[in-house]
Order: sequence, then structure tokens, then C-alpha cells
Amino acid sequence: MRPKLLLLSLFLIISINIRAQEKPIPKHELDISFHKFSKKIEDTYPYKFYYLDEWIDGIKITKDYSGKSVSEALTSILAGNNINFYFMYDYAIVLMKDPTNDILREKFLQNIDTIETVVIGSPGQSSQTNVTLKGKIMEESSGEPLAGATIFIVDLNKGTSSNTSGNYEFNIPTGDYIFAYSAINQETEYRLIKIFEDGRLDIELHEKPLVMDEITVSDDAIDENFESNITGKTRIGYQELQKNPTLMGEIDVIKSIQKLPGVSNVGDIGAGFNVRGGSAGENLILLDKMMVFNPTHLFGFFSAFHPDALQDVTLYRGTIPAEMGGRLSSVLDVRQKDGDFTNISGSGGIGLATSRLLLEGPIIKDKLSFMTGIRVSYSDWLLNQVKNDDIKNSSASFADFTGKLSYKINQKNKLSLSSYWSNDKFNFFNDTTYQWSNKSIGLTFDHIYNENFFSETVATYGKYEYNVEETSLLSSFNWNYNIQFARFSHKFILEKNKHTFSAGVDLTGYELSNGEIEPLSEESNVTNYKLQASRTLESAVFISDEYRVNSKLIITPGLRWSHYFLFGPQDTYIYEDGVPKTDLSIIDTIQVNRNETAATFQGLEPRLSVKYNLGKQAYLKLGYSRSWQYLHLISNTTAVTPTDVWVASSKNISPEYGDQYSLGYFKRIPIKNLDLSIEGFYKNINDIPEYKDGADLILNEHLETELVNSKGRVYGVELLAIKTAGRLTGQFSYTYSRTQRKTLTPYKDLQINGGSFFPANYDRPHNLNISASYDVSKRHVLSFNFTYSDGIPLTVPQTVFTVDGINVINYSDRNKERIPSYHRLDVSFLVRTSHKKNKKWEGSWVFGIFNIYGRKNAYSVFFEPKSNGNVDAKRLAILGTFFPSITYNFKF
Amino acid sequence: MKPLFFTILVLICCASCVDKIDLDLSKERLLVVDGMITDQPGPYLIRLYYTSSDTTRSENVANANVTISDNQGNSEQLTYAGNGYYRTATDGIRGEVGRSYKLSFNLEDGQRYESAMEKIMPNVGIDSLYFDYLVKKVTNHNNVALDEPGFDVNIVSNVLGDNKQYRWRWTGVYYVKTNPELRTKKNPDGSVVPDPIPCSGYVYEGGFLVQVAPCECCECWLTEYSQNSLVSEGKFVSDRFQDVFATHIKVDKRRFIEKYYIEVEQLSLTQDALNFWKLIATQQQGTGTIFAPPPATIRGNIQALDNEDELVLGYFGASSIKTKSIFIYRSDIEGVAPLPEVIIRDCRTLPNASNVRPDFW
Repeated sequence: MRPKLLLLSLFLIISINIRAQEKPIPKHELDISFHKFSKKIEDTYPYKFYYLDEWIDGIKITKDYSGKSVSEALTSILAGNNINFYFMYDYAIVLMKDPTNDILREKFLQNIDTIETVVIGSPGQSSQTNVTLKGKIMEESSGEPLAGATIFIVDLNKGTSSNTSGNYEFNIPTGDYIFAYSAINQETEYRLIKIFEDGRLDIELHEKPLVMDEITVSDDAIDENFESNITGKTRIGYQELQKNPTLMGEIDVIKSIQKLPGVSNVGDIGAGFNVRGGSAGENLILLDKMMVFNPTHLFGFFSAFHPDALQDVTLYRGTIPAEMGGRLSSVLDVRQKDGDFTNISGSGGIGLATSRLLLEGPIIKDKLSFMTGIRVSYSDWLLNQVKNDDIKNSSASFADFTGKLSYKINQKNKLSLSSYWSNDKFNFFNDTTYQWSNKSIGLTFDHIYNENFFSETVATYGKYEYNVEETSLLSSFNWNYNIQFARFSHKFILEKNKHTFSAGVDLTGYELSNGEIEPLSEESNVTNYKLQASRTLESAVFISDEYRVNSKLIITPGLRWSHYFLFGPQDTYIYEDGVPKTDLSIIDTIQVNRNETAATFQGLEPRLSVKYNLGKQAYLKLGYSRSWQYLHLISNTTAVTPTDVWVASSKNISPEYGDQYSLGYFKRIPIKNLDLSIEGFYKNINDIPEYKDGADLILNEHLETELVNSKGRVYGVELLAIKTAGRLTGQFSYTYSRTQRKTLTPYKDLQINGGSFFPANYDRPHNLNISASYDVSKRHVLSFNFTYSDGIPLTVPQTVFTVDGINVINYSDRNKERIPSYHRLDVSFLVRTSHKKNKKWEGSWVFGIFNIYGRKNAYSVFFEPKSNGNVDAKRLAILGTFFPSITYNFKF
Repeated sequence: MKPLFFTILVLICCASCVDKIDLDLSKERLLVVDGMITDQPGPYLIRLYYTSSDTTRSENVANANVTISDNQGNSEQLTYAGNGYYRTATDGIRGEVGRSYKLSFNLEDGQRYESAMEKIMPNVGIDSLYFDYLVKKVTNHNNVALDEPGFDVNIVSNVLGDNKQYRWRWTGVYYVKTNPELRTKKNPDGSVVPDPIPCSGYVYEGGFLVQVAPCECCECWLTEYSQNSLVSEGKFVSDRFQDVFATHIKVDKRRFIEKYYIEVEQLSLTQDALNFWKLIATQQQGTGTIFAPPPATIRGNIQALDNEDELVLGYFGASSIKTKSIFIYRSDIEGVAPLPEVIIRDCRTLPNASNVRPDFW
């Protein structure tokens, strides 16, 4: 070994660089090693070389440098080896290997499974400096040679491809290199080749397992989120969605977005989610642009979206683009894929409680394709096993259907037709059946005028409804509630110089039935009762511009002007001034006829996003948005239940509007594959219709008498770290946020908590989510997910009193305490079955365990008065044990 | 396959569960008013007390001036009867349908309180009571499924008039036979000898049990009361209330030795009273399920006149009461009726027991 102090001397190089008096190279033999060559120089002159032997392995002196200067000779000899040299203290010649390549290689190696080392020849045995590597590339299962396969030397950034008989050849200097062998539909193979003499290396490539890697067109969603010009936008691609462990082994859109910072829920079940302190009714959920009112099945156990049909989901939780509106907190845009335009294929899955199937393929090749999926549940047996009498005698089932036709009319026009249908049925104690359904159909037309000018036209129609049916003969009834909606939007996008303009119109008409109850038999004692329907129109025009001011600054201002109309026939009640609104304080009724307007509101919705490039892969992003919401979800239950009612704004119920301000810092550390961000936000929401204590919301003609106008404020900070590549990927997200409400009524009886700010029902200050996915091998993926959040607020008993012999609990102020905190660890293990033998069928197993340490997370805490005047606190845990699942997924 | 399948089932069985947790709850001292006037003969009782930080002992209010008055200018001052109770005179005020009543009182320290005016709404009465024998499947604390036989008692009201606001409460009476003479005791030497309870009329003399007097505590009638707020869901009902489920009476080793008497009272309510009882009903049934509304403060109809911020709990009600009663006999039990248990104790020490045979028995 040569002196090791050269490492130490590295530090001195920069400061001291004294040129030695350059001497000419003495006479030397050819084809000698660098070691011999340097020795010769050291022997002739008072020079001393410092280097590591491994650096100069394989370097041969092939030319005669006699008489040339030392620096000239060394420059020539060391060229292409990434080695630099320096003179020090008049006598020392220090060789320095540039670490860039090593770091690159290190990083590259992190991203691949395993690497096999191949040694060809041995160092010093041969005098060759340049060697030839030959070989043949074959398909492993068939043994056929692969033509056109790519062979790439990572270290030299040099590549070639195999010829028709699968042969390849390289001429390279001796040394060690990482080779990547790849071909279409084949898994890329890597070799670390240490080559010292001419040699041969044949490679067999394995066909790719299609199930999981089908979208190899790399979905750069994570990159896109980082680079996004607007704040609070997150797109999740299909592959990312697949990495999350789920309760039943199926991709679950709603559960996946709940892992993002700023998104939370109220517990193990519940149909909605909360975005940055917004209520569940403040989310606009779109499936191929069709509105979805209930995004889950079975109270949230399953998401309503067919897992195999998904292309990606995008959640806008910060500044919502001007083209979208109607909800205050977020837009969840779920897109389904187009059917395959060339081949017929299918996929599906069989699980413990559900099964699904999807078929896709061309109707006219490369022109018209279809995609259709169904999913059915058979979860009744699960319920029947539960030793709870109420649940045991209950039944639950759901089914959904999704379909899409895509028609590429020509290069410039594309038409797609989507349809979605879902049905849920839940039977409580045998007598009462709850049933709800989404039905919708949508048409999208994309047109390209020229390469800078596009348009998108969307027309959708849908109906959301639920029925509560009681079948016992003497009191049978059916209670129906439904919302019909029709939406039309047209948008132009124009890219010009530094601008991307978009502008258009967005019209949505609603008809809310508000509810009807009718007897189902003649014997029934129920009377027919029907509330007046509300017919409304929300119209909006919008314009926005993504303006690249310079290389550092992008600003995206936008403006949406929304207008709301409530049409007759409509009875508007006039309430007495100066007293709380009750049934008894109605003093007049204004009747508005058909085609007249009963109420109208309008609002400007400015939106602004600013992205400033701080350099070194860091951005500062800033956002402001104002939104108006004219349709309110009124719920007095903790979780959103399917039977909650949506009501239209009217003279007695004002539309809600809110502002959001956000500021974020985004940083990427490429060498570690890390994306980091911190984002703070503040929101205020006005005119929230908060329900009164003990409100009666069912079929209530005077719903406004049950509501109290209140305002809300939300603030928080979100931290996110994502490891984007490597065998281990994952994300860490933490959110601190507070969501508070305050009633604005002057009447003491209506005030909640004396008119001061109180936590909203879903206020959970600390939220932590860690998920990770580790590729154990090509076919085995292990995923973890850990969740922690503070318990939801709780109203607690203060005293027990007795009236007429009955014990009654008197409760404290609303939401004064909290239920115990929630945490849970889930694990899932994906096993792809062999993909070698049978090409026609690709299968995979997903083994999952939900809540692995079986924490009894409280869904709710409730109280029962005891006869001695004490109160028992009891906790209801919905999934209070570890919950295994097995799903078999397939593709053909 | 089977063991795995079974394991999964077992896991799911305990997946959804309810258990007790410890929670530290603060207590508050609040005034409670409990009482009502009805169209039935008096005297009526009004109770005033404070909830106490020690929940097992409430603090009764004595020395208050309590008055019930109606909208016709009649009023009566109540007299203190101990334990926080104030009562009207036996031949005093009596509620009449259509009139409105108000409770007012002031405490020793001069604080004045008043209820809202409560009108006695008409009451159409109960058409009939009927019962169904059924065996419920219940799960005990150890998650073992058990059969629980019993009778569901249902109410059918008369054809409704304008008023659809009611609540129902019930009283059940059953007969219990005990054997106090069978008590034994252990002598210091370890031998067990009869030791009849004196009220049995038996004595142990010279190695024999001898009856020297009639038994005073062998036959009792036990009374039980409804513990739930049962209100009409009248909004969408026409004609009459059908199948209003009053209660489920368990068939066990004590009840149905002979027969079971149940009396149901139907009370007419004002809108405010209905809301009050409805909130209590919601509090009792709704908790813990996913459809449960969050708990709410249940406000009564009593106002503190001198301090509008003071929360007064409870309700002063005014109702018309109509009753109906039936007997359910041992022979109504389908299948084998459980054998009565031998109870060796003074029957008068059982809860709500009396050794006086009721008139209707």
C-alpha cells in the first residue's frame, strides 16, 4: 500500500498548489503498469506519487511519453479514469479520484434489488488496456434470442443494442462497470462486471409481471406534486395507491388520501373525510367529472371507486383552481383509465367480503375502446358472526358498476362516455332497511384546435338517493330523499409565450327532493308527507392564467364569479324579528311560483398561487383562495351517515363562504431521494349552518329553525417527507391543526358554549401518518402504515338528575373533552405469483393485517346513567382487534 | 381451510365491542325541579333539589315558597313534605284539560324561579294493550349467546284527535312467595339448625319447626317502573298509534309465579314537554351507535328570574292521564315455564315490595 496519508492531504490541496519544476519523462518501456511507470519517475527524480492501488488497476502505459512533461503525460494516461492529479510541496504528485461517479453508482445501486457480480479475468494477468465483451441476450422462459435489447454501461454512460440474433459487443477499458440489460416487456437485469480481459456474458431476461407494473409509463405524480404551481395539490398515481395496506386488501382511494397531511376522518368508519378543518360536506368529489355524493360503501369500510378502473386521484386542499368550485374545502378528482385500445384484457380480485372484475379492450382497434367493471359484496356472513344482537340480525350488501367508452375520433378530437352506478343496502334489526345509491353518466369531449389551444367540454347527469324502509305491516313506510343534478362545463386552454390561460363556464342545476315519507300498505298508520323540492342553479364563469414571469417566479391568478338561483315553486317563511326562529315565530309565508326566483346570491371567488424558485431544488409557494358554497350538508351525527340531508341556500339559510391563506416551503434532496415540505394555512369560514342542541333534521319543513348561524376558523401546519425511490419508499406526514366554531346568535338559548369558540366535531389537533413500502424482492412487497391522531372532541356528563323516576344526564359544554387518542399499525404483504410459465394469467396475493396490535380505538365514548346517580363511561370500538384479510388479485 | 376460517370468524366476533373506560368527570351544583300537575286527583308532588358533587347524595331544598297557579287566576301554595318534596292539599287544585298551569317558587335566599305556562292537552286514551311471547337471543358479558324468554307489551291508542303529543309510562306488579322459615344457622359446634325469621310466624322448638302465628313476610307484591322515556313519534301518524312498544318483561324464576300485572299510563304533552322527553329518549337510546347524535344539554322549562345565566334542570309538566292495564298469566308462557326459585328471606326486604295484596290482584 502506498502512503495512506493522501486522504489527509486532500484537505490541503485547495490551499496549496505549488507547481513543481516540471521535469521531462525519462525513457520507459511500453505496456507497463502505472505502478511501474510511477516508480520509474520516482527513481529518476525526487518526485513521490500518492494514490490508492485500486484506482490505477488496469491502467497501462501504451504510448511512449519520453521527453514529455509529467503533467502532459499524466493527463493523457489518466484520461477517462476519473482521476485527477495535483503537485504539492515541489515533490509530491497526488492522484485524486473524482467521487461523483462513485456517488452516482451508489445511488443507482440503491434503486435496484440485487446485483450479481461477474469477474472476467483477473487484474494484472493480461496486458490489455481495452477489452471486448461479447454476449447473447435471451428470453428466459422461451430461450429465444432477444433482438433490440438495450445494454447500457451506467458508469460510462454508454450503450448499445443487441442485433437480430440477440448478440451484443462492447469495447471498453478494463475496470468495473454496472451493466443494465433491458428489453420491452422484460425486467431489467443489472450486473456488476469486473473485466480485465476479453470475455463473454450471456444474459437471460425475465418477462415482467404485468399485474403490478402495468403502468410502466412512469407516473411521475410525486415529482409533479413537488413541482406543482399551486399549493396544496396532490396527485396520487395508481402505483402509489397500490402500496397502501388496506382493511380488505383492495385499493381504497378515500383511505389513501387520508394519509396526506391535512386530511383526517372521524374514526374507523364514516362516509366522509375532513380536509384542513373543513366538514365532510365541503368536499367536491368527482369521478370522471361526475359528482359523487357518497364516496364510500358500508359506512366507509370500502371506497366507492372500483380499484382496477383507477388511473389516478388528485386532491386539491389548498388553492382550488378557478375552474372548480361549489365546495369550500377541497376537490377530489378521481380519474378512471381508458380501456385498452389494442388488446382485450381483464383483471379482478377475490376477497373475504367482496369480489370484483374488470374487462377492457378495443371495440374498434386504436379507435374505440371500452372499460367496464363490477364489484359485489357478500359481507352478510361477517355480520352474522358478530355476537351483538343488533348487528347479528342485520345485513349489509353493496354493488357497484363502472363503465367507460373512449373514442379517438381523430388526432384532434376525443370523446369519452362514463357511467357509474352504486347501491348499498343496510338492514337494521330486520325491520328497517337503509338503501342508498349513486347513479351518474358523463360525457367528455376534448378538442385540440392547435398545439397551443385546447378545449374540454363536460356534460354530466346524476342522481343520489336514499330510502329508509320499514316493513312491519301496521307502521310500514318508505322515506325517500334524492338529489338530481346536471352539470355542464366548457373550458378553453390557451398557451401563449409565458402564459397558460384557461377560461370557461360551469353550470350546475340541482333538484333536491328534501324528502318524502309514504305508507307502504293500506294498514299502515303512516301518513304521506312530502317536503317541497328545491330547484337551484349554480352558474359560474372563470378565468385564470399561469404566468411564468421569469425563470424563478410563476404566478397563477384566477377569478371565478359564481351566481346562485333558487327557483320556485317555493314557500319562504318569514320569522318574527327579535326572537329565535321557531315554528311558532313564523309570521308570514311568501309563495314564489314556478320559474320565478325565490332567492339569489352571487360571489366573487379570487384565487391566487405563487411559486418562487429559491434555487437548489427549493420552492416557496403561496396561495390564497375564496370559495362560495351554496349547498349545505346538515348532519348532527359525528360521522357522516348516508341519511344526512343536503339543503339549498335560501332566504333563511345563507350560503357559506370562506378564505384560505397558505404558505409553504418545498425542498428536494435528490441524492437521498427525499422531498420535504412544510406548509401553514389559515382559514375562516362564514355562515356555517351549525345544528342546534337536539336538532330534529329529518323531514323538517322549517329546517332553519334547527340551525344556528356560526363561523369557523381553522389554522394549522403540515409537514411532509417523502422518500421517492429505492427499495424502501414511503412517506411521513404530520399535521397540527385546530378547527373551531362560534355561534353568532344573540339568543342565549341558541348559543353553543355561550357563544365562544368551541372545537368542531372533527377537530383533531395532532395527526401523524407514516407509511412505508419495502421491496423484499421482485415479487414480494412488504408495506406498513402507522396512524396516530388525537381523539375527537367529546361532550361529557356533568351531573345526573331525575325527572319522573328517570335518570337523565346533564352534559357539559359541547366538545369540552376528547375521547382517547387513536393509533393503529397495519401491515400488508404482496406476493406476486410466478409469472414465468403462464403468460395468460397473472396473479397476486395480498395478505393484510389491519390494526396489528389490536388497539381498541374508541370510535365514540358514551355515557349511561346508573341508578345510584353515577355515570358509566363506555367506549365503542368498531375495529377493536387485529383484523386479517386475504385477497387474490388477477389479471388476464 | 376450516381452522383458518374459524379463526377469522372469532376475530370478527370481537371486532366491534363496547367496554367501560375510566374518565374523570367534573360535577356541577345545579337546581332541579321535578313534578307535574295532572287531571287525576291530587295531591301532586313537586321536588326541588340540587345536584351534588357527590352524585349519590343530592341536596334537598327546604323552606321554599312553592305555588302552582293556572291561567284562570286560581293558585295554591304547596306545603313542605320533607326530602325536598312539596305537596298540594288533598282536596286542593286539580288539573283540567285545556287550562294552563305554572309553577313558581322562591328559595330561602329570595331567588325567584318560574316555569313556562304548561297547558293540559286533551288525551284520547288507550284502546288496548297486548302482549307477544318471544324468545330473544341475547349475549351476556362473556359473549355467550343465551335465550331470553319474555313478553313484549305493546300499546294501541284510541283514534287521535288534534293532539298527537304523548308519552307513556308503565308500572308492573308481580307476586313473590318466599320461605323465611327455612333460614338456618350454624352453631359453634358446626351443626346446622333451623333459624326461622321471626316474621315467618315459625319458631324452632325442641328440634321442630312450629308455626305459632300467620306469616307476615311470605307473600309480597313487587312493583317495577318504567326507566325509559317513551314518547310518540307522531309527526307522520294518522288515525292512531299502533304497536307502540312499551316494554319487554323477562320471564324468570321470580316473575310469573302466577301472573304479572302491567298498567300503562298515557300522558298528553305540550310541544315543549314532548321535545324535552324526546331529548331524553334520544339520550337513552341513541348513544354509542354510528347514527347517534352528539349529546346535548336538555333544557327544561324553568327560568331563574333573577339570574338569566343560571341553568335550572328538570321540568314542571301538565298532563292528562289515561290508563289501561292487563294481566299476563303464567299459562301464556309458551313451552316450559321456569320453576320458581326458593327465596329464604323476608319478602318485604325485596326492592319495592309490599305484603299488602293490591285491590286489583
